[in-house]
Amino acid sequence: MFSRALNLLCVPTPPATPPASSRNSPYDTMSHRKVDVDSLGLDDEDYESAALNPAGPPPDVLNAVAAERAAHVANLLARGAVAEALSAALTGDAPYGTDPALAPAKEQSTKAVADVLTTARVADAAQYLPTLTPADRDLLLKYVYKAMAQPQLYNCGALLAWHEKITEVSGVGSIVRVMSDRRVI
Amino acid sequence: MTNPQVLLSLPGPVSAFAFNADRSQVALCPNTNEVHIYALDAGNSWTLTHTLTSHTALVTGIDWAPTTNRLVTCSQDRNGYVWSLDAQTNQWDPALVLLRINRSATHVRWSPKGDKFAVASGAKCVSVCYFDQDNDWWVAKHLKKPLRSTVLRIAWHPNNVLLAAAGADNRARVLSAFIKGLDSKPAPSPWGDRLPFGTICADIGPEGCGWVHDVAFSPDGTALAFVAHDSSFYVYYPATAQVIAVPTTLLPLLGVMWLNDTEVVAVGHDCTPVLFVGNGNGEWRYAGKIDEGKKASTSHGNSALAKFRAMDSRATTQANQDTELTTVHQNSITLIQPYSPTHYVTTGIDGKIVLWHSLDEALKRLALA
Repeated sequence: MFSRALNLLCVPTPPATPPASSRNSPYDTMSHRKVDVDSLGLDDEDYESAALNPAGPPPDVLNAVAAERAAHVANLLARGAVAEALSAALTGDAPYGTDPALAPAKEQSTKAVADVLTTARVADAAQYLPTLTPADRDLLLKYVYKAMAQPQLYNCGALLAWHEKITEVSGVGSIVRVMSDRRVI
Repeated sequence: MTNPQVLLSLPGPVSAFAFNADRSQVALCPNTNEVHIYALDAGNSWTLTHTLTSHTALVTGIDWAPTTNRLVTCSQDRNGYVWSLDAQTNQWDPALVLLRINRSATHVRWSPKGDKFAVASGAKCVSVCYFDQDNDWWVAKHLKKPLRSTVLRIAWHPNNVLLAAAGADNRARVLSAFIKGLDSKPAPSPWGDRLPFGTICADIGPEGCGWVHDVAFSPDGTALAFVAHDSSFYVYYPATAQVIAVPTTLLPLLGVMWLNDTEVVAVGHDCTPVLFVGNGNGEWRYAGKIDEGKKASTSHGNSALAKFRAMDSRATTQANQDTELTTVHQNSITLIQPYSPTHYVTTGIDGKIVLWHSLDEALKRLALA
């Protein structure tokens, strides 16, 4: 009906499929979108799961390490030793992996880091951040993104301010490393 | 000659390019299925002399052998062609190479001696091709193990036998591409002594690496540099099996090239070549961007005409508001190649082929700083 109306206006209706000339030509920019990639079934599942779950301690060990770390950080924060709390929150085995049994370790580790970041003043970031190693700063940025993914639990405003401070020191390379690293906390 | 010098400026991205031995001609693919050959004419400008149209899909790799003057091209149509120039008719004659891959080819490189070439592909293999005299055609041998995903780039070792492969499975590998009957036994090197075809000399996968975008052997062949998508630069020493990682604050790097045994130039999404300097003892550091970018100049003579033209076409009130980047390249640089012992050439998504001086004063300052 609409096409008939367009015909009355002498405007040609667009063809339903791209013209044959555009397939297999340099102007063919869309046919790759019609390929059913999933049916090709080429994903190497062993490789994928090995990348996402790096070799490390078993979940119960990681849970215990995370609980101990969280307690230690809370202790340091109560005493007001913010710089030590920040580096303590980033030491030890990080809860990498997709195993659901790691959930307590991930929650406690993220909460410990978020507590330090909300207690520390963002204006003092210039003191704390250069003392960390580049790898620690990347790990800190991973925790910032992890916490920002749960805005109902963590204060995203403070986290965003810390994100800005970390990228001032570590650059966009740090953000790229958080995105490309298959080891997800 | 200003530094850097823009040699050619195409309207669209350049997906592959190669200069001939005396740098008077360049074969490039302007992001289509054609290969264009430009020659430097008497007036020192580049004119299109040949258009090679055998491929039916995007040409992803071009290489020009300096010794034999043969071109090899590979494409997303899963084919490769070796082109020879017929002196009488001044035409390039293609010879089809059956790569036997079921996915796109991504990169192709002649070996240092120009007698064989390797094609990286999305079929999780590298096709090493050599000319079989008996059957008068090009034969492909596959390097499949241990590649687990698309091979993005390859690089040959100076000894004509070892091949480095940059993979999308987050690993850089060194494999042996020794062809019996064609190659003579290579001299012993830190990469290994007995090297039959397919030997895995190194399989490097730093943690959290991301896709390895490019690999390059050092000029003396004792180290391998590679850049990965985690914005880092790595150097691997086989003698000690040590990987030196240099994480950077930049966007990911896409190409890497050694200037000499202690200086490496890398290019990437920051639209400028960057320099990495080693101290000869296995310590590497990021030395800085080579193209800092011109400072935006504020022109004082804003003519009324320019102002109103800008208001009309771009709805801006400032006549000199630039939408251009301050660096020479206006978009990511994807390819870097040596041009001469003192120069290298880069190209990227902006379609500019730019010549850089590697002994530039700015570079020397960066290296010493």
